[in-house]
Amino acid sequence: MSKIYTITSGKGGVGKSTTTANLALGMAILGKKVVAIDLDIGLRNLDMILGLENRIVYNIIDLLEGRAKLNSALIRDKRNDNLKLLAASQTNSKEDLSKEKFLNLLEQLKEQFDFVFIDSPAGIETGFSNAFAGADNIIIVATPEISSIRDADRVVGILEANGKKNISLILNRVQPELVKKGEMMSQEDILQILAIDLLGIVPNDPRMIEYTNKGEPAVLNKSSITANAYMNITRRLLGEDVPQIEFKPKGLFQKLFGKLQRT
Amino acid sequence: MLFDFFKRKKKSAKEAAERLHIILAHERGMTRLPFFDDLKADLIKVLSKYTNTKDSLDIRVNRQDGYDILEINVPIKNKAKRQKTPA
Repeated sequence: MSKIYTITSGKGGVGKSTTTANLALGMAILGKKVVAIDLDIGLRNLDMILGLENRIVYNIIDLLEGRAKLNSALIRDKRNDNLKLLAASQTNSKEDLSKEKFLNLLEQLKEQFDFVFIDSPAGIETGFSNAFAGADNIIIVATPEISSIRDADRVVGILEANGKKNISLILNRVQPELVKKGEMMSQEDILQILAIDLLGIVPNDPRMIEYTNKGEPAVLNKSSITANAYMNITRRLLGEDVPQIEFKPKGLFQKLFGKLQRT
Repeated sequence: MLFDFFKRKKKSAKEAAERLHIILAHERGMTRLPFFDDLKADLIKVLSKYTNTKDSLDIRVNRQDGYDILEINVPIKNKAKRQKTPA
């Protein structure tokens, strides 16, 4: 069972690469063979989030242009043998990637790996259509902000117009306190607007910057509040029925009442 | 929710959701149906021939279960335009 997932968004900076890194590493932790592809040609980022930037010798353009063999272009993760990274090129532009060659590569990777995660460039330019061309599943990352949701809607529209059916949403950086106060759109508000399936909710974690600084994705850190959210999402991708966690901030009343209900 | 003292002031999240509903209804029409603007103009032309509703017409595209749905809301006012000004 091979599956190709493209992680994308309308707006930039909503956490695509971080999401890709955590889902890919999370899936590797669960024992699946995974390759993460950075398709943001010219703006390579996934390598740093995974802490693998010093290991890159060849990138995806080298591979597609025949300057490198597949095995030398696949960078082995230092913590988990199940995970490989295929880095973006820094010197080329998005137009340098041939869609045909890329689709052939995906066919090859499907045979070697259980999961392929493609970190797509933001927006709706050239690189974007390459990123979703070969994918059977699209994951949209959005934050509960008005511009992020507006752009996500546009991307959903384009994907659906291109015949993509399996589109789901990861709602990132949710702040339950603000949702409760009515100062941040709730998941219900957003799902009603976007009308796509919810894959998972990732709460806002002030420690996320630490993980990125160190090149150690949240899933490596068991005490992280986001690690759990990401692991739940990877289990859902494996077909497990993992209920959505409610990140509602608990008041004293709720805590007491919650306990009573459970007994 | 239970203890919400409703309607003191509109919360900003509600406002965001409402603004998105309105702008996206328009944008979806534009980007998903290339003929949306022409269709809209024609619809207004036809509908205003029979009703007084030109300014209160609400024409939008919504998405439901992967389908685009053209929604047209025509509030009918009591007096038909035709009786006042025969075309």
